[in-house]
Amino acid sequence: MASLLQIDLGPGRKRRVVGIDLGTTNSLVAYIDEHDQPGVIGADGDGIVPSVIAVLGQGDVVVGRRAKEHLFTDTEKTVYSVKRLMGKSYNDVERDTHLLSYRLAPRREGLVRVEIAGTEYTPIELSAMILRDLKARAEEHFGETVTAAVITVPAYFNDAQRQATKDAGKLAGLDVLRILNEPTAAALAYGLDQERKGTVAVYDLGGGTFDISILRLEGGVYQVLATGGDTYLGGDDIDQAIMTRLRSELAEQHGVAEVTPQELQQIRDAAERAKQALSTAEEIAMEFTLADHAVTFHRAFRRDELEEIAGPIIERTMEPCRRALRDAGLAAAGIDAVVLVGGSTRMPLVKQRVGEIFEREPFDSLNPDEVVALGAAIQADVLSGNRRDTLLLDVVPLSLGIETVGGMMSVLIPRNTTIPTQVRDHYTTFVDNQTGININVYQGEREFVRDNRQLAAFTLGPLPPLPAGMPKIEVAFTIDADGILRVKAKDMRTGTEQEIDVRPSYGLTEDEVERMLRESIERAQDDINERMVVEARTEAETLIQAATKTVEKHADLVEAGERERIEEIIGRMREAMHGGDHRLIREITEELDHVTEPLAQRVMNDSVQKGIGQKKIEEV
Amino acid sequence: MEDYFAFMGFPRRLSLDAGELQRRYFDLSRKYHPDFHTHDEEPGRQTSLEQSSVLNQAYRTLKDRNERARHLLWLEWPDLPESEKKKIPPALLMEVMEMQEKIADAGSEVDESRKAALQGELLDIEARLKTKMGDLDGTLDALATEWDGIADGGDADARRNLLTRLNTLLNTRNYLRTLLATIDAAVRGGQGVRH
Repeated sequence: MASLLQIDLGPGRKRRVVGIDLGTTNSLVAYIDEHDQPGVIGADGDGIVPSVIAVLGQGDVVVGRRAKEHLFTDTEKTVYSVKRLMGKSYNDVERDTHLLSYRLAPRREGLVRVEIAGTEYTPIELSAMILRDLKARAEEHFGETVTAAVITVPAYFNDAQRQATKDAGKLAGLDVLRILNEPTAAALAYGLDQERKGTVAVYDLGGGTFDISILRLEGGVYQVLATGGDTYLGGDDIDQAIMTRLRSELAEQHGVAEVTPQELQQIRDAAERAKQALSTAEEIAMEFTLADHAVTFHRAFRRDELEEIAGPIIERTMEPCRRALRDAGLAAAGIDAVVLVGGSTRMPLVKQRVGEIFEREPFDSLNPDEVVALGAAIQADVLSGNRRDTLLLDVVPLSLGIETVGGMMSVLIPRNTTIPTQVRDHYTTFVDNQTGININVYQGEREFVRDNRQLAAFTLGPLPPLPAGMPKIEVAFTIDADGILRVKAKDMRTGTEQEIDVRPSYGLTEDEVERMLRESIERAQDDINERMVVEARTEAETLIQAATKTVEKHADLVEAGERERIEEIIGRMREAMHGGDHRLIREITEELDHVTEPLAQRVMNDSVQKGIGQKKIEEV
Repeated sequence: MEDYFAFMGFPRRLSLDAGELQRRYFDLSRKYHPDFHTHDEEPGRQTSLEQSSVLNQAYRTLKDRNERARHLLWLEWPDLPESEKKKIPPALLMEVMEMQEKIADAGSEVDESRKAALQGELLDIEARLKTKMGDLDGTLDALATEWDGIADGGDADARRNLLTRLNTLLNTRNYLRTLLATIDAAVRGGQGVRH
């Protein structure tokens, strides 16, 4: 492979760095080819990796298209839209948990964790699984290991979300050279094409997040003037709004109040498909069967109805657009082009509203799914030292400040400040012999810190006992090129400097990342047996529940001796479940599955016929 | 704090060519930006981060003529007393008192038509303040010509006199901004200025 590799790298090309778009719905990895052109790894649309992870057992993780298949069969072990959970607390996501078909770990505080078959996973770990898959794809493509990457994030991601993304990269074995803003990445790809110049607005509505960025492009310089957005607004919200309507119809028309995770997944799938199809079609026929309730639901779905449902959600993107224009000191007329990014911009209503607010037809000839990854590849090329003509000047999306008297936010670095940036602030004591000074750092635009996001809390000290006002501590707040905060304190009397680790208040410390890495390996090896037992038990329990319920509910369909046979197997299964032999549990599970199959078939046929009247099954 | 004029290679003048500022900013960014120092050994990367931070701050400061003037004043008169920096210009005092009274009245007024009348009066004050704000731009132009004319020469008294006038102008401007934001908040529900 060595010789092929050298040709591939091209003359004078330095270290291989890939660009990764880690999306809510889909992820991609891209690189710069020997002709200096960015390209997505995986030809013919195969480069799109659904951001879905199926954790089927310890060490048995499936990602992407294959994982998507498990959404219906292993619903509670299959995680999607994990990006929406990055850096989030339980409070942040509470309103949507009933619409998730996987489980969040039951706790009330701290960062969200996902529970799969009794094991808790952080969104960082789950994202790392996607990144590992992308890394493997790239390695297969190049025939060499890939160790460094640029990973994109929504421009409006806060410090915690950026740090979480960086940690995920590290966990996947990647040296994350840069956390790059998605709209900026898109602008890079747009600008490279025909060396465009002027003032550009990038409207990026993805699966889970929304960004608006306004940039000036000139002579290879990409200067971000302003950015805005909402990291919890995207196509997922439209899906959920459709789901809510479908569920109320299911309740009204079919009396289906509660649904199983599998059924929820079916409804979600139907909603997503309808939304996508209606970008081109005016009307579609929607149909799906909820197996557990034996209900077949069908109805027509028209684009105007979708637009009525999606309208308020799309409307929420308008105010950030107006604010970004204001922050950039521009009127709509000052924008030369509007670039659309993200799958949700395929909706005609989005195009229309964007056109209205910026008073021009949006530019939509870039592939909205690929453009971010392509831009990340260009930035990767810059960082590997191959491209000196491109200069990217990005900004911090949210104001950074500290808590002052009365819980007020005192802004140190206003939003839209070009990064990297640094401010120094001075602190002293209020009482004699005070041994420490507490500093609380926040990010956000609200007047009171309680309405903003806390980034860090740390104590300057220990200070030597001195009269009040004597100690003089200078604190330097730096936001680096990734948009991540670093804090350094200096005792002005002694000149001693101290690097303050600001991460533990929300993210992971270096130690934690290491521990997680270690554990993920250990778990896979040492605990594998125990995990498999837990898995087998869970599966067995699920089947027992289903069998018992069916026998009770459909007593009329149970044939002579069938009930006894089933009960006998369940008895043996319960016994096996007390033991630690996962193979035996699985064996009996399969037996039970096999024995209950004819009954399941009869129940299905019966319900389908009740549901559709006198039609034959073949016609359904 | 650094001397941003020196950092970007400009003399300490109140007038500055915007195009030239942007050119230098881009050139120096290509030199200092962390993107071009990813392969450096430490402390090279740290230096790049710090230089690049100073550059961004310098560009932001020099780009805005009022910020630029504030920075020049700080460099030329580092020991300017704190009290002088925040002194309320006496000429504005009457205006302020009238305005505050009207805002308080408008807030407690229940009669809709009288409330509307008070708001109308506030809008008149706003218009007057905006005119004043515009006049200040002209005054700053004149001061700039004068300062850049003596350049690095002139006697100490003349320089100090000029800087005193510059300080008053900047204070007045700052104060006007706060007043306008206060009226905006009272009349249109806009956000007040954060202190």
